[in-house]
Amino acid sequence: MWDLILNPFITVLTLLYTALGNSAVLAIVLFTVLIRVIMLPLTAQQMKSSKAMSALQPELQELQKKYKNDREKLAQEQMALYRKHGVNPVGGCLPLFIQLPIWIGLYQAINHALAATPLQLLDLGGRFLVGGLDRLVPLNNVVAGIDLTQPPQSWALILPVLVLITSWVQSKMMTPPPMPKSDDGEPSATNQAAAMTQSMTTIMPVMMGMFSLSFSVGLSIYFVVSNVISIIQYSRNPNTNWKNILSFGPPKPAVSTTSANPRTPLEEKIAARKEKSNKVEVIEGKATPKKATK
Amino acid sequence: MPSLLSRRSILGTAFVFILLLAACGPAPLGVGWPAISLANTTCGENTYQHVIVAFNDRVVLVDPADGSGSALLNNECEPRPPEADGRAKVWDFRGTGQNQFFALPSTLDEQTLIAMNYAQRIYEIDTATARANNGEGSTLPERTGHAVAQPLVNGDLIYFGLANKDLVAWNRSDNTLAWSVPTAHGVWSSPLLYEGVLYFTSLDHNLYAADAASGELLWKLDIEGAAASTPLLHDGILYVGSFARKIFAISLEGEKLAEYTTIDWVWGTPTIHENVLYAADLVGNVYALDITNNLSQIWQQKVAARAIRATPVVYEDRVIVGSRDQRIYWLNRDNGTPVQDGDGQPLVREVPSEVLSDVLVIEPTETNGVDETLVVVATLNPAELLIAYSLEQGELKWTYRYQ
Repeated sequence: MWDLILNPFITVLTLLYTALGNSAVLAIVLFTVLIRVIMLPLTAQQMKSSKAMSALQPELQELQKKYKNDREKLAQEQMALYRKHGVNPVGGCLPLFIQLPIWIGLYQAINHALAATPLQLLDLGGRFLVGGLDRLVPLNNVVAGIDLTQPPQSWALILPVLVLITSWVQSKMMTPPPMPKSDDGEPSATNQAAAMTQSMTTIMPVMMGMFSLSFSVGLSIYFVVSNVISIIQYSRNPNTNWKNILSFGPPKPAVSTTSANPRTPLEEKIAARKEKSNKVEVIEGKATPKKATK
Repeated sequence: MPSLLSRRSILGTAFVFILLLAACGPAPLGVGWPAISLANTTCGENTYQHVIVAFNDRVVLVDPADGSGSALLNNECEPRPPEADGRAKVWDFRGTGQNQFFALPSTLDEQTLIAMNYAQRIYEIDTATARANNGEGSTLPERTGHAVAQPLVNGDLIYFGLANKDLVAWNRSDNTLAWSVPTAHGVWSSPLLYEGVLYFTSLDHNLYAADAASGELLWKLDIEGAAASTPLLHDGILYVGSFARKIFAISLEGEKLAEYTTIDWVWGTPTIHENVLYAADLVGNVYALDITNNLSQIWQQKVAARAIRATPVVYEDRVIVGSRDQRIYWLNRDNGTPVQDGDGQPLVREVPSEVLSDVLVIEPTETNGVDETLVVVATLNPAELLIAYSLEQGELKWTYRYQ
């Protein structure tokens, strides 16, 4: 099963290596860019979906408050809300699930192609889908005196630092600010989860940096390039939480979901509906709650 | 708040734990395969034959008669008293720092083995005590990196192929680096020494010949692909397989005499029996080639579903190979077809994990206590690291558990 992903990846990586003058570093960089570009539609879909879910958070919180004692009803109303706005609650996960094996394949392909131990080199055998590539094995994995298959030494120690910094920026950009506290002043369940996520986004980059001290240099290059691409992707999102990048603790809750950043079309739509629905309640007065929410 | 605190402490603990793992953890074990061979030890007037196994961070000796760990002997050549918990004292050498041994030790003298682990730490192991004479081991001067090849001993000079690049000669008497032959990539197999010349392969696609005393490069020959095995010398001709999917016959002067194209990479050293060369490739084919007729094909059989890494073993009228498909195959030497067992079925034995190590054939001798010829294979499963079958019918004789 893995071979279906791994073998084409290893083949392309090796072809790039040849095309780029037998440079393993350039091959890893270009290959990572290539894979990330191919996955762009999936990443965009994931970002769009998670943005739509964020926009629905206020209404979801209201529903949670309203039906806190009736889980079945809450689920029904949540589904109705999703249907109304054309949002798939697992829409953000599906692209992620599709991307996951590709990421693992990419990681494995680099590991295999740079074969550091006999078993890794043995595993490379029979994986090329294009004839003649065997003659390139093993790839030249020493660049400027640094063995790409080994943990970083001398000047390559800059790589764990770069991994840490780029992971940090990327994860902080990805994390949405928590919602304002509810009327009773208690943090919502969503915000508790967000706080947890926030802690992880502080710890994970540090862990990645530490791991990079033990990972091969080749893999660190992959992590840096991959993170930079993610940063570029997220920087195009108008709702990117730039202030969060310098934050070590949980971020301050956003004053309003719409005040600092321009609204996305979905957010505009939701806000307009909400405004309209409030007006109906005020003018008609007699409308039943059920009718008012229609 | 308490739940938040507990979450934080869990995260904190996990963080510290991972930090320790990343910063201080040992190199991972279990990423290689056992290297096995036969080895002799002496005690008084007696010589004992063992199976020697280098795997993970240990080197052990196994009694070929029953697959138990070979006992450590006292001065009277009797087994030493057992440990306090009743376990027998067995020959079991452990290196420092949990670094892997990818290759077997070599014999330094009658009482000493010399081994090098992945971290290039050299151990001189006393065969009587299974302890290093040089404590935590020594390191090569001026060289860092890794090693996966078995050392070759030539008096005071010991040759090491280094995994990153170069073949080096280490002068044991004064702990200096006598010389090195530069290569563009790693040297993953032991050199062959013949009449004062070292012949060795490199992953840089070349076969090298160098003067064994001075390290002067005599010649190098492009063999079109990486090579990870020691060349075979037979009747003044070198035979070597490469990842270019080829087997070459090469003169001692570095001239290509003949070549044969295989279906996939050839990793193991070929073997020759009665003018027929036997080799296997990494998609499970076994080849028999006529060395008197420019390596022309006698037969080729698709034997296994996965790689056959090691050298095929030829014994009397049989060829025996182990594969990554977790099977051991007995083949007829004449045509490569499966040998039939007593029930008329192909003589194939399934083992609990892939087989990457060399296959051993152990004949009964006075020094090993074996009562019939055995085929011994090594797996990657510590519960059955070694498995011995009878050569004739593939009957299971014993297994060795790596504790």
